[in-house]
Amino acid sequence: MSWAIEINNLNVWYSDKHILKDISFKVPKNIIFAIMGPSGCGKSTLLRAMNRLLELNPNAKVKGQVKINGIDVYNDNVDITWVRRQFGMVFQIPNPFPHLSVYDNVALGPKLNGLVKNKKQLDELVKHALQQAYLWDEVKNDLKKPASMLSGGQQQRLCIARALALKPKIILMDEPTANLDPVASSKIEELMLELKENYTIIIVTHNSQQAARISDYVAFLYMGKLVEVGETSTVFTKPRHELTEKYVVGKIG
Amino acid sequence: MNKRKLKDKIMLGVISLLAIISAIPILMIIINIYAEGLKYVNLSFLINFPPPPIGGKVGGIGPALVGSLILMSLALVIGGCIGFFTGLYLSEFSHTRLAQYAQLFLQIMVEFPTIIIGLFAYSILVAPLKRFNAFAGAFALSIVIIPYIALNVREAYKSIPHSLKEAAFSLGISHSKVYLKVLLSTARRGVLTALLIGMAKAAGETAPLLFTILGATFLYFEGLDQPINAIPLLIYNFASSPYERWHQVAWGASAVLLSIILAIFIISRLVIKEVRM
Amino acid sequence: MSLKRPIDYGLIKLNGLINDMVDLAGKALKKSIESVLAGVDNSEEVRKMSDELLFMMDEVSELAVQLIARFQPVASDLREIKSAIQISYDFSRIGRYAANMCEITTMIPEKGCDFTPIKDLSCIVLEMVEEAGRAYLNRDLEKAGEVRKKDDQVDSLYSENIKRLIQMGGKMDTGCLLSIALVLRYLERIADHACYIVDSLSYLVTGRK
Repeated sequence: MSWAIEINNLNVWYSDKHILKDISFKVPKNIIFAIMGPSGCGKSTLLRAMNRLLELNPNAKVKGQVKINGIDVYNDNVDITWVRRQFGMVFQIPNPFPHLSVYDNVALGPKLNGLVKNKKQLDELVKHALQQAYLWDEVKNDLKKPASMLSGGQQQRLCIARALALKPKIILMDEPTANLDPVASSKIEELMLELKENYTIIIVTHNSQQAARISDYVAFLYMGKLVEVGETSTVFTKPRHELTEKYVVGKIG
Repeated sequence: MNKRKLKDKIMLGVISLLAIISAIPILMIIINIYAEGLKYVNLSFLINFPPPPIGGKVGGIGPALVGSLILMSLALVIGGCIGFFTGLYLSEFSHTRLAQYAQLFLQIMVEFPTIIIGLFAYSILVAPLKRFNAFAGAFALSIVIIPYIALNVREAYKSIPHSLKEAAFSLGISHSKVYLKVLLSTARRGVLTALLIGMAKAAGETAPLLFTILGATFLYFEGLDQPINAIPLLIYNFASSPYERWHQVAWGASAVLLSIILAIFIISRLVIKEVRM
Repeated sequence: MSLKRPIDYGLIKLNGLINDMVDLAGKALKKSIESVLAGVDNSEEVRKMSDELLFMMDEVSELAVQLIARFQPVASDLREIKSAIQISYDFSRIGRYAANMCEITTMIPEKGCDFTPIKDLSCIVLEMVEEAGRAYLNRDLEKAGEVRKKDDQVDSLYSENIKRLIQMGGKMDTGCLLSIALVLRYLERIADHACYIVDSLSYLVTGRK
């Protein structure tokens, strides 16, 4: 079996604080993989260690391997911008560039990365990405309007389209529904289930019920350690580890 | 009405009154300058040479206005570039020791007496050449405005939400493109304000020019290595002269200078409004 | 927006399993009746089907528990899951009775008994099982009513046949008599389960028992 991503003995420190301790797991392709755990357990850090966004924090130190297609993203020969383009990322707060138009938000990545040859190609790419994010019908007449005019849920789907426009293999989602109302949240969840046909999705959530609903595999992270990883249906019916049991029934976290 | 509410009301009244009092000098300055100066200002005043001290027509401040505009633009190009990139560095690499020291120095520089900066420019650009020159003035003004621009640009970039920075970097865009193409447009309000503040500062400074450009009263622009005049310097020179006619020119020049500063201020306000909506 | 809810993916799987059980239970019963009426020995095949049905019932309840744990279903979703658990049990029972019926034919002496009097009854029961399954899959309450009507027929045919058997008392081979009585009993039980299935359907659709 070929894996979408393989993580071996990953350790992360912020200054002297040991945030992630010897994390190892593999993620199969075309599934939704959820990372759940109480706040402060290192979930978001783990996600950012995958696409090396962690390095925006000058105090972060990483040791270990993160392999995509057999290539360790922390290898010295690997270009960091290439690494980041292999992943699409969606964040906790819907963060489209507020002053840019709906169109430009999606077009920006492909344009600045030189992925398209001409305007026509770019138009098609933008349209396709917006369709994949189930946003096209809602914004096709407002492509020139600033992204800040959209509702929260639409903004988040715009961010998904922005991520998809780079044609990544893996989509990283950092609590993508934490700031949305229930209806907008369900839409995002439904969209994720649709997207897993073509992408591998890794989602971080502190909401274990969300992990239960949408993921195929789930990892439970507690105080920087990987407690349990397995099929979601198993983890939520008969978890192997006592800590996981306590977490999923709501006794910790 | 109970006691607490009354206390609140009195407090609010006192504060409002103090606020109004603090605004009074500004209004009085504006009214005073325009009342005394505006009557001399017309198109020919903006173009013509200054008058001789005694006799002759009112004349104008042409050379000084041209000189001021040249010095302002030059200072803005030099100081703007250096200040912008310094500010960017201070904001985005604030964890480095260099940035920490640079910020400290810039904060001190803001408080520096500008006449000392003028003396410094004299010692390295005027004395060796044995000639007052426009470039020395622009250089001195650049140094004056660099800390203002740098610190304001720093604030502008710092105020960009971290999540937008993450979004930009997550798209696999290089550092320079993220800062100059993606985030600059987010921070453009702050950056523009920083540049306008620098411009206003450059337009109004007198002290750095005292030892650098001489104040060539009867010359338009002759070259960067030649003396030049500027409105603040003209005001300083003419107002401290004993001649009534020159006093009148100084009043007119003050009205022009004030208008330039107010215009810059209004533009910067409009910039902010435009983006906020 | 034509997107599916997370739970829909699970419910589709659940209904797929039920669909398979409907097919298999119908097939098992048909084979079993064939073997009774024609005196062919299908018992091993039917026994396998019955085991398969039992296994599928476990699968359904396992999946149902997962769905409850993962999606916290409410209202019609919840009723759908509860009904699925119940009817998967019904189908497993139908499979088991079918297997039992088949086994009887292997136990009776070679002489051959005359099962023709219960031919009508067995036809009706087979129809009931097939219709109940289809009604459930199509959420068809009208069909459900027909199944219930047929159950009344089954009840009267059942008591008729039992009376006849009692009257025939000593005139018949005891083995045959017992076999026919047991087959009658199994068929009647299967018809009951077909009724339970349409009851679950009514509950699923209307929320009432």
